Amino acid sequence: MKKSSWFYLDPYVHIAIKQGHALVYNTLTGQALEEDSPVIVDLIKKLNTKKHLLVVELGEEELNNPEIAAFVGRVRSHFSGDLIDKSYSGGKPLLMRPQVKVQKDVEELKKGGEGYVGEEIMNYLTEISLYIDNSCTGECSSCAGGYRQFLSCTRGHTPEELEIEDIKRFLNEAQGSSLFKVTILGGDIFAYSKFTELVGYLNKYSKPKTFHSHYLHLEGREEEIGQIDRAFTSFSIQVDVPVKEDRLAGVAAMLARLGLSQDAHYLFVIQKEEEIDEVEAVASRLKLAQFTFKPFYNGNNLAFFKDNIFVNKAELLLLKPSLKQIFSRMKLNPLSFGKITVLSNRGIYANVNAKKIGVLGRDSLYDVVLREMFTGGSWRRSRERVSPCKSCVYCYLCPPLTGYEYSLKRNNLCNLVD
Amino acid sequence: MNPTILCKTKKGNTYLYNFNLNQFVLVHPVMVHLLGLAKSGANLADWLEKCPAEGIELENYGRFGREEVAYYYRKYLLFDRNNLFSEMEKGEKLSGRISKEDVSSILSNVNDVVFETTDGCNLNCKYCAFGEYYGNYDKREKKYLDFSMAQKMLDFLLDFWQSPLNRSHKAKINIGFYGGEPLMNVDLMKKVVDYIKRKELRNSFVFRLTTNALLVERNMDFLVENDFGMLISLDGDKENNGYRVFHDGSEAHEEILKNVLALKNRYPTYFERKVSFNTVLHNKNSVEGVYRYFKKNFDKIPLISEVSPIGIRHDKKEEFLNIYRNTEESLALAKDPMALEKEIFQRLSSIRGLCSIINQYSGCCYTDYSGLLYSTKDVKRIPTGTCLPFSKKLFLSVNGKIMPCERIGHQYYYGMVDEQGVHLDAGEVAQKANHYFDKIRHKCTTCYKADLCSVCIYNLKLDGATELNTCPEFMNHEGFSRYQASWLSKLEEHPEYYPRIMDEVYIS
Repeated sequence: MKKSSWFYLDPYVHIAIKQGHALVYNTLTGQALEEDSPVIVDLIKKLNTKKHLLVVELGEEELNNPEIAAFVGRVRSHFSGDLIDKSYSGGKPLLMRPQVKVQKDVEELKKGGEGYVGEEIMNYLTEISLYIDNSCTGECSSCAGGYRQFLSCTRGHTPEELEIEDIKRFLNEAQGSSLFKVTILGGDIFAYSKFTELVGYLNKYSKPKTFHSHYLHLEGREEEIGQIDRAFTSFSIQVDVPVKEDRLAGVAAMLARLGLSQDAHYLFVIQKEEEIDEVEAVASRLKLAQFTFKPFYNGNNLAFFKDNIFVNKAELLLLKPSLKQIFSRMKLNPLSFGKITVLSNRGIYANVNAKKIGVLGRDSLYDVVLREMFTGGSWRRSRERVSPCKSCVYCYLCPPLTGYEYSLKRNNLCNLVD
Repeated sequence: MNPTILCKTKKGNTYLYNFNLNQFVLVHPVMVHLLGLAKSGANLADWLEKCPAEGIELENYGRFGREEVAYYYRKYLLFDRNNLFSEMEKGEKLSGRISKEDVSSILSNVNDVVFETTDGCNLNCKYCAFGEYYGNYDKREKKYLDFSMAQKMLDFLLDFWQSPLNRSHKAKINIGFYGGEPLMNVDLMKKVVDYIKRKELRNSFVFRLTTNALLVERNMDFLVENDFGMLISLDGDKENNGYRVFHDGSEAHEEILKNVLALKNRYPTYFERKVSFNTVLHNKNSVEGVYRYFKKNFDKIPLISEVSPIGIRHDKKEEFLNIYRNTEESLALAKDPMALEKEIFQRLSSIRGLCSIINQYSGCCYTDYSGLLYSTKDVKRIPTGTCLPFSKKLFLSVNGKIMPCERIGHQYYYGMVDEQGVHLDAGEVAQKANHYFDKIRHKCTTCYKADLCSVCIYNLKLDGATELNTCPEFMNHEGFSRYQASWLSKLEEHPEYYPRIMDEVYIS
């Protein structure tokens, strides 16, 4: 009698097949197999169907096919699947093929109308960033574009500031939400005309807050900072490079006097390789407890980004995304999901690079959250929706889209696809 | 607790389910052997070292060479590195308690309010939850709920609904009417609808009722005008419906049908869109019979429920067992059970069970996007499958009792509505609920089925005992292995159910 086996892929494996190219990625080992041979791609396609659910029968003839046998060997060596002799059991095994299912998937809920999408929708709101004003006399080179790439202060040509009552109404509406971070930014936040009143309100506001300020704006603001209740509050201090070290030292010393050194996080905006060493030296000399780099794309430093931000296959696999992470990237943009930004011109955004979703003072927080969930323009913008990522088998292994992709005007910050 | 469960299906395939991985993995007989050795305390590295070159002989499977054994040992190590064999501790996870703030938040988000409009009924169904078999409800006195009581309840909730703690926007809040036969107090229903419709909220209201249909014809204009969702209780044809009788014992089927057909003929679109049926299974009907009846007469598939075994009086147990029928057994008696199962699908409790298994243990299902994004590993929760009070529903009984559900004993109320107003204190609700959960918590921490528990705490014998030592769903390691194996066997039998459930079924 001819020998026959069940060949299967394990359910902790992620399969992607695009344009005749297949990827079998093992979420436990972080290893990936890439297959181009039509015979093997067809076999993987078959394994991944609803009919076969990761298990197919391979007869002696197939197992003697060198191409198939080699593939089976590769799968086994990665512990991504196995062969089990058919005679060991009385019938075909069943594997629950990984296929993400969100019971309250918006696309499903939309079929029932807005009311279904709106149910418990505030659970999804996690962060609000408020640009309370835009006044600043600084001349940072990252000013105009930085806030489109990461949370960064920015100044405007005509003075603008948000109405304090609008801010309060907006934040009050978030009380039942899952909000875990409110960030206050400017301009110069200390120049905000109702700063004391705002701080008084925020001191009583029960959600965690972060005050984001350029380090030079902190100079001489000991009294204003002293008004801020430290409970559930942190400080994010933006530093552009080259650093005015003596002035940064003064700010660090002031924060130390106020007992805030441990609550302060320094963000160094860098634009070239050499600045990394410079910042590390400064941070070391000033004994800064927490600091991170924020690379800024200025239109002329693509090489710096290619060296430091762009990823290759080996780096992607080193990140070892889990099945759950892959699922979340299929449905959402996990980096932007739940975040709302209000600019000093009152425009409300789910992503400052995308279309406005509301106007502060006119639209409620509930309205904008529902609007964004319904359209999914930013929060649900996955790589599957953009070129060339949608044609790449590594699409969901890649980190989600960020502001950098918009600024660089390319979605693939990698060397995987052109 | 051991997080790894081995289960062998009827077809003889062995799977490893792991709580940390939350997936079923098919395992080779050599791996099963290694897992057995590890469980018995063997040091696998030492064992492999001593393994002869010709390998091992496994009963029923034959001989496996040392190289092959070593391969599975490496796979074992991979599982080990991924924490598949790390001890699991449920005590911390099930140590969740409800706070006063939680209750306030829940009350702000109640989206289903049900009024018991009357405890009177124009039928006297044999198996009624308020009938002769049961002893866990308030005495039925043919009372009608007064509108002032309903209004007080609504006003109380309106304050919560309008607070910023309400997390919904433009969503629907269900207002339901239940009885007895709710249409016997249609005046209350009309007043509530009128009152609610005048309120302006971020969210809107929808109405529904559960009825025996006897008074539908005379009230259908009102029901249709307000787009009521209508669940009609009917057990099938005249013979099937034999337990749904008038108080004098005469059969009610003809009269019910007359009303249902009047509605169907007068408002066919509404009937198609908003009317559904609930059938109770017993010894006078069958799954196949009721399916054919409703399909032929109304082109609908009814929800099929079993007679509730909860709260049965001791002296009525025998009688109850006589009329009780199990859905699975009834389905098995059909001409073509498989075809019927595929047709009725998630309306069958067996398929709903399968849905729950897939939802909980496939590693692919999430309730919402928060579940998909954030880890629930460290989230503490309350034990059992009980809903947090009012998180699914708020029920106001005809006697003014505020309860979390209409399907639980009337002794488990959390507050009252009376002439003075609503007496529902969030702190007291939390305290009372925690007191109930504390009685069973210790038991749940060693139960393997705790994550898929369907036990409602109010259906346990909570009175008196400080701690409960038995639970109808408790499962140890072996029991859970058998439980999972039975569901996997069903899936192996019907592999097409997996994609169908994943694609089509909303699992709540």
